This record gives sequence, C-alpha cells and structure tokens, in this order.
Amino acid sequence: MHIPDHYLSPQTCAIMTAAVIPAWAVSIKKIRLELPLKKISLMGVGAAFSFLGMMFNIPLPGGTTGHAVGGTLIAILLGPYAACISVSMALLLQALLFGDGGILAFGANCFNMAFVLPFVGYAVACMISPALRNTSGIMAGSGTGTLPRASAPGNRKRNLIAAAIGSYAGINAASLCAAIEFGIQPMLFRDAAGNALYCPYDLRIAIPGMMIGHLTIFGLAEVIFTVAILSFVYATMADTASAAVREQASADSAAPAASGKAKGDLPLKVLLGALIVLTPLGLLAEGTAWGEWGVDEIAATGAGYTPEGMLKGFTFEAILPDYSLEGLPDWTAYILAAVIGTALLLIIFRAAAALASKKLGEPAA
Amino acid sequence: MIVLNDVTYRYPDGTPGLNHVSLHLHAGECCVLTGPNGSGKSTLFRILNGLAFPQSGSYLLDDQPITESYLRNKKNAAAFHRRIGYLFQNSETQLFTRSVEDEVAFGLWQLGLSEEEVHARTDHYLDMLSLTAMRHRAPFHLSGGEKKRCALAAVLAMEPQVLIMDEPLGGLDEEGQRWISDCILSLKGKDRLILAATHSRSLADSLADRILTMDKEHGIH
Amino acid sequence: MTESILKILSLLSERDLPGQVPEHTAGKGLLKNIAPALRLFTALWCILLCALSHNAVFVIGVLAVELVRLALLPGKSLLRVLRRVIPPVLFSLLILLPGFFLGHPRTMLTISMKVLTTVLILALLNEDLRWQQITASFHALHVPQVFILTLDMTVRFLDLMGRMSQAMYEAVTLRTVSSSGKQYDRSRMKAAGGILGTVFLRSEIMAAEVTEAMECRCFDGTFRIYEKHKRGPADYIYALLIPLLLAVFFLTGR
Repeated sequence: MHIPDHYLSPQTCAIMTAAVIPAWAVSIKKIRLELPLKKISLMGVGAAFSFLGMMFNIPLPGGTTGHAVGGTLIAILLGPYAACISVSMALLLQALLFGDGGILAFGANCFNMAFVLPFVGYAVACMISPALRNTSGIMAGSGTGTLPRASAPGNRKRNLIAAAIGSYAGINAASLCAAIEFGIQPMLFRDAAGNALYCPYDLRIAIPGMMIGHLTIFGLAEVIFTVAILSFVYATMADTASAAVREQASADSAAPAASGKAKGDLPLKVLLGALIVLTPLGLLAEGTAWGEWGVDEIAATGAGYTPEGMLKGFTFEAILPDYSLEGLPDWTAYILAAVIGTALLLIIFRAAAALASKKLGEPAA
Repeated sequence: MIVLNDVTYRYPDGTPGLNHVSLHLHAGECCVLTGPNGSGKSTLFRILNGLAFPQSGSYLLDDQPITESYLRNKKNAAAFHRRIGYLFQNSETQLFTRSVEDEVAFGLWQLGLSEEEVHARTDHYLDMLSLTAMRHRAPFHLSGGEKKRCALAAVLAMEPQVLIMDEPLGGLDEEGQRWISDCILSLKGKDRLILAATHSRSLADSLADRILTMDKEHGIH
Repeated sequence: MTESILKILSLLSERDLPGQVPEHTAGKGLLKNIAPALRLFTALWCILLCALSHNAVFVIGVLAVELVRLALLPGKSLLRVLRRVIPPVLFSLLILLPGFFLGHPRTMLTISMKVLTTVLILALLNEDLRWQQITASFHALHVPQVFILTLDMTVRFLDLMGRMSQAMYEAVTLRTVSSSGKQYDRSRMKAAGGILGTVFLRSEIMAAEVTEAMECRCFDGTFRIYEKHKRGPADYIYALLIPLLLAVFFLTGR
C-alpha cells in the first residue's frame, strides 16, 4: 500500500500532507498528556513491529503482493495516537532509507496507514469489545510494569476477535483511501493528449485493483499478524502482570518495578529478533504490489504508456533501495535492512522517552 | 624526626616567607601552629613538604637533609612524599580526579601497591571518613565539608608518618568542624607526628601537646 | 562578548569528556569481561577497515551491528551517545552538501555513513570503558608513555579548567546588569580583557597547584596501569573478530 512518488500529483500530495498534519499534532499532544513516559520507548517497539510486518510480502494470484501494517495492533496496545506516530516513523524510515514509499507521497501514505488504518481499526475493535477502550492502550498500566488491562481470560477472547475484525476493517479502509487517491488522478490531471500525468488508472480500476487483494489475502495477513502478536503479548505479559501486581502491592521501590519491566520487554525483543531473521521469506513473493510499480514497469501493467509526471519527476536515492544492496545476496540485504530499520526505530523512540523523562525529572525507561 | 635549622625563605619577588626559623618535631607528637594571617604558616608547610626550598638553613627528616637535588631523584621523592601527608588549606586544589574513589586510590596507585591492596585501603578510608555512599561522585560536586573529608581520606590512605594539615577546619560549619576535629583526635598517638595550623582555640586546646606561634616577622616561638 | 567566550570555556565542564561515564554504566555491558586493550584494538581495526572500504556493504554491515548495540543501551547512555554522534555526522553532511547538488549524492551519503559508523564505534566504546581502562589499553598497545601521560593530563585539566570557567561565567553573569550606552559598552570591553587575563593566570596557578598536589601523592611523571586484566576464554573468542572482520572486508569486495 506504499504509494511511490509520481503516482499522485504534487497538489494531491500537498493536500494529503495538510490533512495528516493535524492528526500528527493531536497525536503528539495526546501522547504527552496521556501516555506514561515509560511507554514512549514501547512505541519504538510498536513501530519496529509495523516496519517488520511491512517487510513480509505476501503474493496474490495475478502477480501482485501486499503486506500487513500492524496499525490496529499498536492502537490496541498503546492507543491510536501512539499508533499514528509509530507507523508514521516506520513509514519515514522506509521512505528515506529504503525507498519504499515516496518522499512527496509521504503525507498520503501516513494519512492512509498511520491515520485511517489505526483509528478505524481501533474504533471498530472498541465497538465490539468495549474493554479495549483506552486511548493510552491496554499496555498503559499504572506507570510501572507492562500490566495489560482487560487481561481476564473471558475478555481476552473477545478482545482478540475485536482486534481481528478491527484490523481487517482498518486495513481495508486504508486501502480504499489509497485507491481513491490513485483513482482520482486521471480525472484531474491530464496532458494535452488526454493521457494521465500521474497514476493512469481511474476509480473503476483502482478500487477493485487495490481492494481485491486487501479484502482477501492482505486483510487476512493483517488479521493474522495482529491476532498472533496480541496473543503473544497477552501470554507473556500475563506472567509479568501477576508478578508486577504482587510487587506493586508490596514496597514501592524502583528495583522490583524495573525487573518486572525488563522481563516484560525481553519476550518482545526475542519476537522482534525472530521476525528479523524471518524477513527474507518476504522475498519469496515475486511481483510488485498494486500501485507500487516502478517507472519501467507501469506501461506493461496495462496502461500502455508511461505517464509524463513519472518520467520527469523528482528522484530520490535511498541508501538501501528496495531493501537491496549491490554486492550482497538479496536475503542478506533484506535482513540487514530489517536490523537497521528496527534498531533505528527503537533508538528514536527510546531517545525521545529519555529526553522527555529528563525534562520532567522522572527516571527514564 | 623533623629538624629545621635557622631556615630563611624569601619568595621570588622578594617577599619574606620565613625568617630564621628553627624547629624540632618528634614522632608521636602533636603540634598546633598558630599565628596571624600572612605570618608564614603555609610557607613553612610548603618547605616541610618539599614544595619550596629555603635560601639558607637546613631541613632534616630523620637526619636526611631534604634539598632540591635530593628530591630530584624519583626514588627519594617517592619515599619522602610517602612519609609526609599534606592536607592543603584549600581542598579544591587538592582534588583533581573524577570521583571520590579515584581521589583516594590515586596515591595508592602511585605507590605501586597491588590491586587488592589498593581496593582494600580505599574501601577502609572511604568508610572511615563516611564517604562510601558518595564514592562515585565527582569531588567538585561535594559540599565544603565533604571535600575536606575527601582530601583527608586521600592523604590518610597513604598512611603517612607525618601528617601536616593547613587550616583543617577552614570553611566548615560547626558540625563539620566537630567531625573533622574528632577525626584528627582519633589519629593522635602511635608514632605519627601531627602538625596542624589552625585559628580554632578549641582544636588547639584538645589536640596540642605543644603550641607553636608564628609572628608577623615570620619567626617562630 | 565576554559572556560568550566564558560560556564556551565553561562548556569544557560539560561532563562528556572521555571516560567520564557514570560508574553504574561503565564496565557493566555485555562485553565487560573482555580485555579493554583488545576492545580498543578491535574498534580501531574496524574503523580502519571501514575507512578503506570502497563500497557501502562492509560499512552498512558494521553500522547495523553498532545500531543494535546502541538500541540496547539504557536511556541516559543512549542520549549521551547520540549527543556525541549527531554533531559530527551533521557537520559532514553539511560539508559534503555541495556534492549533492553537483550530482554526487552517493558520495555525501557514503562518507557521512562512514563518519557515523566511526563515531558510533568510539562512542559506544567510551560508554563501556572507564578512563583508567582506556589509558591502560593504550599502555598495553605500547603507545609511548609520554603520549598517554599528555592525554591523561589534558583530559584532567580540561575537566578542571572547565569547572573554573563555569564558576567565572556564573560570576560574570550575576554581576552583569543589562544596560546600554557607549560608556557601558566601553567598560564591558575593558572588563573582557581583565576577565580573560584572569582566567589565563588562574589556569596557570591551578596547573601549578594541581601538579604540587599530585607530587605530594607520590606522582613522579610515570604513567601507572591502574588495573590489570586477567585473560580468559572470552578474550580469545572476541579476538576472533579481528580475522573475521578482515575476511568480511575482502568478501564484500573491499
């Protein structure tokens, strides 16, 4: 669902960026007010999961691929505002370092995947399971350990179902937005000869083209990704949670809380490590996702011509374009890209948490 | 132990420092040096510590003449400074490492002691001067009293036979003064020679076996 | 102007000098049992190979490992390392910016990436090792004593002078009342010379006093190793990194 550069006109890009800026502003404000400082570094973990999820490409019969995003997952765990920022950071890294998603189209990508996806997914999930209603997420806890609320077994099952349906709704809402953004380009931006300057496929083609994949396989991927990781979180946090509850009930000292936190983080880090190692599986899917073709590919997809806007537009050279590196086998470069992306996301959010806690004089995570 | 014979010292700019000073100090003795500001107390201490050398007269430590050429030899200098510990008037000058622990251990490393012994002595003197809790803090972050204790610990850790203290109670509050006084009193005795310059009557009375007074003419009696 | 100069001097007292790592982080990393000299040598070896590398593959590989190490640091250490790493990288990007506009964006990225990797390796090493360990490593690597001693004294005096300048800066700030007028400006200019001269003279005096204090504690100009490391199996395993890095360097096409 990453929209590359030159598929949307600069005007569309500007409008979409303007549309997502208020979402960022409100999210940052809400995070400052509602999210405990210690959870800001967990946003980095969330962003890392989203980043890795987006590296697992899944093939669709017909030759295109897609991937999960994990926005709804982060929205449930840390709140929709945190999800907005986390996914935005993951998308930023992908655009700058790996050339996955355009620079000018960054605003549009964030609007779809960092705003629409998590907020719609969260809203739908909360409608089905009101126990998930917490804009700081179920991992907000009481500020010490990673104590998930609503972790009672009965609630848990309902939460997982809600998360499944919510994530499915979220990813499809996002892909619909992307499809509309694609589809209106030929209507609004044409050259003198009547050819589209940017994306050549109108709504009649763009919507089914994007939606078929997401209503089927990619939606399923998002559901599996969300439910699997949420179950993992419930399972590992349950042990830490009961220990943290006992420790919270006893003396109010920093050491037990710190050990509870450390234990809570380790399973997540192990899971991150496992996902990194498995990312080359994403290379098995050949073909390019709908709407992510390169300039050289688009004519062959059925358009018959390469729109002028794509030929003459601004180009950006990423360090690891398409997660590959000259001189390295694809799978090695893919793992390297996963490692670098994950590490950078963790660093950025942990540094933000440390800076914020320094300003407030609180102990850092 | 320490003998000064008719020592006269002038600063490079001609200012008189000491004027025909003679002194006999014995092991196990505790002497307090008093006198008005500018009478030469600090100058006397600098000479006793081998940091300045008199233009006339002699300085003997256990019958060994202490001269500039004698201390130019590294072995002699090491042996000399090991025997004489000097607590500066201004503790800030004396603290130059990055942590209290390093400050106390610095002299011990210079003595070439083993790692175990350095750590053992450091722990002992940090504990003795109630500095264990702040062992990792930078000396410059300590309060006046704490800095004094840190400097004292660094000097005591080398277990000198002669302990020279220039205004040990200077700049301290009442509690700090009491603490340091008690500490110095506990060091009295055995074979250690203690020489302290102070304006404190109470310290002089409680500590001194002998009181030496310097006058405005830079003499001593 | 006086305040600006003194402020710059007082920045010397910022606690980011080498080896000035709080004890609760120094010597507690995963590699705490490895000989500091070996770690220093491996870091320098890695930096050398990164500098000699003609393509980005080796550098990116090393960068990936260092970023993982950075990501695992506690919050305060993370900020400390980032504070050290970001300025040189930004500076190199700025210096190489003309290359970007002249059609060589890759050069800017590659060199900046090498700068990032190099500074990151050293900053992470500094987080783990205390100053005594660093100077002991130089000694173990047979660096001439006069060099180590000069380095040690330089860092020591940077620390001390920085704190002195900080105090003077505070004094100047407190005594400077906001005003305007030619007479006021002239008097400030006069004061500037006096204050800077005082800083210089006080530094001289301080240097003499500190040297005397060190002499009184038996310092004779000889550099002493403060800690001796006992070699263990971890050292031999870590030492395998040296040929491994060289092998990867050649395999990735230099």
